Amino acid sequence: MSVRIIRSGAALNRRWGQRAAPYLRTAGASVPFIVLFAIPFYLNGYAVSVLPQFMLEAVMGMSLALMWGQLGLLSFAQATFFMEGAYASGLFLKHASGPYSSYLGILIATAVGAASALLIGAFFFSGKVRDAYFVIATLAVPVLGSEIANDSTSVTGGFGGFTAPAVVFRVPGVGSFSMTSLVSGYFISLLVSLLCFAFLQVLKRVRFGRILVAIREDEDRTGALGYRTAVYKTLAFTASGGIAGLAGSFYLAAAGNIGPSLGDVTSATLVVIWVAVSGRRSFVRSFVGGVVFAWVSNYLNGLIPEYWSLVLALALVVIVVGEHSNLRSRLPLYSREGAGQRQVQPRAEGPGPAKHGGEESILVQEEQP
Amino acid sequence: MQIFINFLLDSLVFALAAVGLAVIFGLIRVINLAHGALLMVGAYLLLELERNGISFGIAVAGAAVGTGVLGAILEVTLVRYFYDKPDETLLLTYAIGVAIVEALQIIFTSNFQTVSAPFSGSVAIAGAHVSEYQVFVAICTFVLLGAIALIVLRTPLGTLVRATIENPKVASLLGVNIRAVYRSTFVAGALIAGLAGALIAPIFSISPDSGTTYVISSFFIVITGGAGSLVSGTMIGGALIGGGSTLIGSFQSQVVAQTAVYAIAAVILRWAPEGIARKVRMK
Repeated sequence: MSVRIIRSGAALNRRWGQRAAPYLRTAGASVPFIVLFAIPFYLNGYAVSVLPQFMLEAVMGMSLALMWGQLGLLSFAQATFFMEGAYASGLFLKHASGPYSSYLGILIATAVGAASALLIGAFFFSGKVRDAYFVIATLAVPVLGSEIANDSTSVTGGFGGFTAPAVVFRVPGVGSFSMTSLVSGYFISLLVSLLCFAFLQVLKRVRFGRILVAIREDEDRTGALGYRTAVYKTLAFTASGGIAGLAGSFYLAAAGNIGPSLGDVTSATLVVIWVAVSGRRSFVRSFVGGVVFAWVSNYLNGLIPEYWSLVLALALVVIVVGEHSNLRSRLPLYSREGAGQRQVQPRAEGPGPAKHGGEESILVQEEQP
Repeated sequence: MQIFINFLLDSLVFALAAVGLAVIFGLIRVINLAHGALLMVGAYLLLELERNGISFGIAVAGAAVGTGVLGAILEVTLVRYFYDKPDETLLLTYAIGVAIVEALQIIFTSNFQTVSAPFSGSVAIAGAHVSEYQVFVAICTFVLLGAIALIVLRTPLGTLVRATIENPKVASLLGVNIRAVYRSTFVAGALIAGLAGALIAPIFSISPDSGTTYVISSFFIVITGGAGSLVSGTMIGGALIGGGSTLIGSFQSQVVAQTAVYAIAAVILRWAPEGIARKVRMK
């Protein structure tokens, strides 16, 4: 709604719209969380029992949105970080005891996810490896990760699955909240999702997030301005890995049982498709889209898995084509960052960044309608 | 000795799988993540054709042509709009690859299937036992690479292609139909991928998913070998990735081998992104 107000053209409307826009955005963003909060009061037990898992998977989707939407770097590794976090916290809790061990488990999961991302990111970004090569390298992560998880049957239970110990959070003075109990498990997951969302939104608005966007738009220019882009990219990847790991640990607690397929190429592909279709530039959209897609996938996977994946893949093709062709009518669906964003979009028409010296652009010029 | 022969043969198998990608990525710099899917298309076309009674040789040719046709369709409808945008090509071809694999799963189910080799039986080479068919495939790889090298380096057509890739603007000024050049290169790459998939199919049991591992290894092969160095790069890369994993796999588990090989590839990617062949040449 705010977009239409801005586009109406009248100066008064524009001013009112621009001033109202941030509040409307916040209001809009809180709607999904309010709805999610209300669900247990109105819907039956099934929804309440499965939604936590979907919410946490959507958090993983948000971590991808950080990399892909803000920084502009696609990563197939999120699902594997998710899985790592799940296994890490599960393994820890199997051997640990103590009233606060569940918190420690979460921390460890986050650390594991962040550390893996840090290692991979630091390794590649410090070498100024081309973005495309980085993406291909992240494609190798789920392949390796799921294979290792599958192979280490003594540790992970292999294909057969890994059952989580019961996860209970003790809040001194208030009580104990168990993840396996329907109601507390739901609200804990919702709280985690909300906190991660808030964290990511803040990250997006502060200087760090703006620099990520700058890197996305033109890395060379950002580097020329004195920012050490490799450091920012590594930090962003680490953050996304940590969030994915965090979500993974809660997922294990909520789902109770996981397997190596949680972090394999198929899962990684699904996350990419969710985020692409729901809108990677916005954390709200990728979150809501993640919940919806996770739910639908779960439902349809029991029925017609192949057809559903085919539909998703085709949807992804459509989206990629749509973005490139720059159809004006599609832009408002993707970015609410205002007019400035739209002006940057038509990179194909411009002189072209130095990536190819503009030479291949001659091919595209012939095709322009 | 057995290990050495296996090393050699497996390197060549992987190199064969990578050639199609080497052509597309090496020449026109398109990151074709659908490559694995194309390999599988070739493999399944072979399966279907053989099921309908067509002899092996013709079936392989048919599989190659069929995959080439698919490549042509993809190029004309989608890929050609993305030549100047490598990052989006990546996503686009990835999506196309997933769509193709899913379609294959619907048609052929995700169960592993075996394709019979035209001749089984083993041959003794220098005391080691190798399957005749694998030797045949190895020879095919050499022939294919030789043919490509010949065409690209010695024929007027090859010179045309190389010139166009190096400087499309001037080429078009000189009357070259650059769209056709890019298109034919892409189709050639797809055709080779189909050929490779069909030839490799009898060696392993296939499922629509098998292509994914090959895509990653093919990319690592091309990148570590050197994008643009079609023959020596692909061979070096094949030896490293394919042969390397066989070598390590012979005394460690497959998983360890795979991890180690990818790690080595990552290291090379980081420190010699232009590939080994280039690095050696530049010295």
